[in-house]
Amino acid sequence: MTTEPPAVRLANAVYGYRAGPPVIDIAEFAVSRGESLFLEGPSGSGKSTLLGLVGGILTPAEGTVEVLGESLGELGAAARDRFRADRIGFVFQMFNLLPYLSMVDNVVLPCRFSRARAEAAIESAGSPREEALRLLGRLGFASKALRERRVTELSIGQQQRVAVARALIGRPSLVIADEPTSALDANARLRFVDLLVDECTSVGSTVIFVSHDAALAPSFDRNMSIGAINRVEADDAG
Amino acid sequence: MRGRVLVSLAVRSLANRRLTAGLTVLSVAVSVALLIGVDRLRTEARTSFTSTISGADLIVGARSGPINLLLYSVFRIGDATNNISWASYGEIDARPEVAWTIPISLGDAHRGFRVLGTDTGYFAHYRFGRERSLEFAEGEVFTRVNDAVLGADVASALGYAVGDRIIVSHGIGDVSFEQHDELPFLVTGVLRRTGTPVDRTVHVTLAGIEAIHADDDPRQYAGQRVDATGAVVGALEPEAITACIVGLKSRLMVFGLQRFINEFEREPLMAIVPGVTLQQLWELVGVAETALLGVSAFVIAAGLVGLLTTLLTSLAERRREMAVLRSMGAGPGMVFGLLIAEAVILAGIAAVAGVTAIHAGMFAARPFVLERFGLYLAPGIPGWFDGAVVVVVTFAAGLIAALPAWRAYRFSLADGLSIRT
Repeated sequence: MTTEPPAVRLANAVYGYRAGPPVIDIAEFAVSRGESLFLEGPSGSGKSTLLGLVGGILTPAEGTVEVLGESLGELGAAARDRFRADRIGFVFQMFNLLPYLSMVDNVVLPCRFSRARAEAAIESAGSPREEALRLLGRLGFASKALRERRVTELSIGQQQRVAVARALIGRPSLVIADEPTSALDANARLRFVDLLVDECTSVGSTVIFVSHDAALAPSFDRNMSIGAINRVEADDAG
Repeated sequence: MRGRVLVSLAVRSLANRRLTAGLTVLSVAVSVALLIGVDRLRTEARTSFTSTISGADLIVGARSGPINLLLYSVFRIGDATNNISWASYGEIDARPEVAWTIPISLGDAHRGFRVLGTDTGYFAHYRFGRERSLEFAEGEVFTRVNDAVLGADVASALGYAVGDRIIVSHGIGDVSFEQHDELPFLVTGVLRRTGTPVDRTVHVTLAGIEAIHADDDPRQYAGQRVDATGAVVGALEPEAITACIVGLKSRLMVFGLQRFINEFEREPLMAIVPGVTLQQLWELVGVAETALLGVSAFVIAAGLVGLLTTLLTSLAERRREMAVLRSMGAGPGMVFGLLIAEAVILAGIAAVAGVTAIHAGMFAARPFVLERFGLYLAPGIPGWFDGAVVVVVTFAAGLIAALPAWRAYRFSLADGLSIRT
């Protein structure tokens, strides 16, 4: 462990929607830099809210949410958007790609929102485009013919791998994967998870992987369940 | 940087939905073209109407209303209440300030078309539109008592050509009890289309009019040559004419002569300045043009509502796209801007396309419109009105897009990073 602040640290963080009861009440939750964490969370455990807090979409009603040393509650909305653009890569369950962009343009997109990530990509491969091609090559899209397919013509598994390339471009410090394997078949799941963790580890990114599929847990450094850290009962949480 | 990303995303997103986007552009473009077209046509129609007769300084008739005189002398609508005596006409014609006169004698018809008795000065001095003179499509001017020159519509509607013989009836109905079928008229010429009432007129000599009303057998005059004034000397000199068109040596003399005629001693006469009276008449009939312009403005509004519908219906399926953009750091303001940008791009393209299409179309249609409707369309260079329409339509689209943009803004705040379908 270095003296660097942890990738994520929540302390006494409480969040509730509008005037409703809190759906998240976390006394202490921390993820170290470079760690890969498997977070098991059935639906209704407050998973979306937790990711919203860490992603800077939501701000806690009480307590603190620190990501990469930055206390998100103290930042304005625009600053949180910029922080998210610069430091965090996301992979969602499905429909990650914009249907009107080519595969490469989808991967390059974060570099167009963030100068920091564009510069990191240029440093790595000379240009965001070259970096996108390099990442796509590592994720199984070495063939030019395959890269020229429309993203809507790709299989779900292929779309998810393109989404990983997009999350990784410009070396964000934190990658958040929200049930990225739930649309994949069992064999593909394990391969996908290993690929994701390997790629993140190789660039030094911290990974938070949320899933209800406990079979994937062994691929990660550490695993825990949201239920274990959230003091709100699962059935009441959003 | 974000602005460029925004525009490029908007363009790519529209290109991806090119069918609906294209149809939306089409509907707005058509509505813009309609508005511009109506505006061009009403300008040209007014110009054409107010120059149904041009180059004439005064029109003289028996005293009645100015519009009434204009209607029967130029538009062949209605009838004269009284005539001008041949002697009075001669006196006006002999005035020193008068350069030329065209006598007009009305009251007869041929199969529904008005017959106009005149002299050869009609073909030399009559002007319409932008100082255009009458031209012969076929044949030549009349020289004999029973010669006739047809307007273009008369010839095409009744299938007449030079060399045909026609019968003139007294009165203006299609069927008349009293047919002057004793003296057939020979078609010697057909005029080119003018887009004015000249097209619907049968022109004969003043002597011809006298001949068909003569008490004795009119056939005795058949083939007799008329003199330069269009009236044979002697028995066929008219007693009266219906009206006359006067051209002066100088425009400055118009009001002097007008006063002289209005105060004419021998009989009650009236002189009108055709341009002024045409303008008054247009104010009566021109209400329709304003209504038409109003209707086209509403069609544009309908086109823009179509655009609004397209954007609103696309929102539901684009919520996940918004969430993906949010995850990459796009603020809700950018989601708002994306929809405004799409609307502005669509409307801008549509407005420019509409303006271009209508100008190109009207340019291409010029010969046809001139030939068929006698409407001369000046080659149109898009002017300030077109520019204003483009700007207003684009701006209005940006404004109404605030509704879907605001919805998208709300969605993206509520959805955050959760992808809903």
